[in-house]
Amino acid sequence: MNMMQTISAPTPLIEISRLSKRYSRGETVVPIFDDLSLSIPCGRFVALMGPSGSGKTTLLNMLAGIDRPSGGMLSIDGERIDRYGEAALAGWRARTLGFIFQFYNLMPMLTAAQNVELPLLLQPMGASERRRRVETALDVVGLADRMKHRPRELSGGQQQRVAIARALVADPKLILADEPTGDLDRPSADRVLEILRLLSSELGKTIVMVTHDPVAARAADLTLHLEKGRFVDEAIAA
Amino acid sequence: MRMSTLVARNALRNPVRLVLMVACIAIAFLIFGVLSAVGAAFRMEDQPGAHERVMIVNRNGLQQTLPIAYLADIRQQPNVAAATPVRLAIAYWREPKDVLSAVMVDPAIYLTLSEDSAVVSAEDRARFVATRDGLLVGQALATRNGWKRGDLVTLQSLNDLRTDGTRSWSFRVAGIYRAAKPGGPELAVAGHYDYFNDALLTGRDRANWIMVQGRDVTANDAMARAIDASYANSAAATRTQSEAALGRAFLSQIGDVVLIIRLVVGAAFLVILCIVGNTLIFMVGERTREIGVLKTLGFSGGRVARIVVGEVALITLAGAAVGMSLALLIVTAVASATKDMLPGLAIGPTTLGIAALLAGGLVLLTGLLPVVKAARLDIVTALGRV
Repeated sequence: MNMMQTISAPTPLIEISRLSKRYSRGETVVPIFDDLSLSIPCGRFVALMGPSGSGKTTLLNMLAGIDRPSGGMLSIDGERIDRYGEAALAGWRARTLGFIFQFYNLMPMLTAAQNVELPLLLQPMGASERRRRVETALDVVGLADRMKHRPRELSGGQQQRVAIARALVADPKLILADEPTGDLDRPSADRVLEILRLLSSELGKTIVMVTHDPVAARAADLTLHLEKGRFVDEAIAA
Repeated sequence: MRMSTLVARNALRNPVRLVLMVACIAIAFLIFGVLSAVGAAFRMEDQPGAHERVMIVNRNGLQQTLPIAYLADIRQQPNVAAATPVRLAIAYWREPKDVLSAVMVDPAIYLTLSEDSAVVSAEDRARFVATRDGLLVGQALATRNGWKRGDLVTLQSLNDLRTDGTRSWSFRVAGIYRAAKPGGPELAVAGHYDYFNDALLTGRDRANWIMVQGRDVTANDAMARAIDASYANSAAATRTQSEAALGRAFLSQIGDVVLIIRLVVGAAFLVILCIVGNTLIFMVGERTREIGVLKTLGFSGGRVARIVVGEVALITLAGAAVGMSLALLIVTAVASATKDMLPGLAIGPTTLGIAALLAGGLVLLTGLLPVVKAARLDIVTALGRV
């Protein structure tokens, strides 16, 4: 069955058609999802929910170009990334994608500013321009005064905000977040969601966030529920 | 921040491990540096003229001598520019424990042949050549014994007897030489062959070797073959070879030093290769998740590989630099103490070049597996590890 989820808007950033993913374990083929279709326009903040094993993280990984579909079409910003090789995907991620992990995944030996600067090392720009962007990104997440701090000197919430600054510093069109509030207390989680909301509404970033938390999902424009590899409903946030 | 900052921060994140790895590599290069310097000194690589001068010795070994009558024939060889007999006299002055090396030579020719290793003033040259009992003394030896030009010095021979039944030869200090190379040997003496020979009771008219300077260095091999062919059927057959080759032949009497050095250095590097390689693989394994994160941010496999190679190179080159610096310090310190026994003990450009090649090879070999592992790491698998 082809379940098409479309959010009415003129220019879709993400287009998925008849996407499938299967894993082979020995002679057994385990389907994660099959015949999945979706279209998300630019500037939307979408929450992806579902029970464990529903395929939401796998879908997120495919949107990030770090996992490959078994079949179907996957286009982001007009680029058929399902056809890209590893090197092309790396280049595409560097210029199009920002990624926020559940456990922050900051480099422990680098300062907050250096962690944020990492994606800019892949961009053709000078040191002064990189510094300006890093300062701006840390300012956006409210950590301009913590630039010299190392991850171990920051709280979990602050580390996640550094990770958000890292995801947005290269000005990507798409930001993917894998349970960004899953490891945070409520006030820190609310602060992170507020920033993500801001990135979408004020800066026009398209955000896809995997979450188990209904409160977090309410920050999004739209929540998609994935169960057993299929979208079961949709809801657009008020 | 530059990519090199990332490399340096990675290398410095575990200081204890870094120090141990650098120390490990440094020890290998220290062994290499010191042993190579010793090997080069044995091969006389750094001594100018060692390859150009030709030495004629008895084919049966350095303990045997040659008749001085050969000298006139050898001087007739077309490529021979100059030739001097060298009679080795092991002697002492005052205390038997202060043994010194004395060579009895044709003074004028010896001065010419030794120009590359000993510096002698024109006055001293003339005085040494003109004085039948004249002695040319190394500056260090003269300073140590308080000898001045004109002093009468009596040397006691350990091996040779005079016709008067004594072992005493009196010489007059005619000149003082300085080593051409700073720190070079200055503890030997040279006297007139005729003066020494005329007083000998036994072993007269013999030379331990004949030192020859060829007119054309490229013709030395042909000259050597011609000389050896001339005496092939005589009672004292000759072996003619370069001074450097003679040094090697001498050492071969106590064992193949170069082979021993190569084996020790090879074993040291093999052990280091295993230790460092294993540690680097472990290090990359430890950072699997971080590599996955870098790749998610857009770092390609090649770029991640370059970061790992950079780290391996940084650690290896630091170890090599520390090891070779220590080797230089040790060799310099030892060289001044052993300059007479082992002249030319130094770490030369050849050894430094080989060290650089070894460091490069070590980076390639130890870095190969970790780099391939990092470059090919699947992101989903990497991020799945905590």
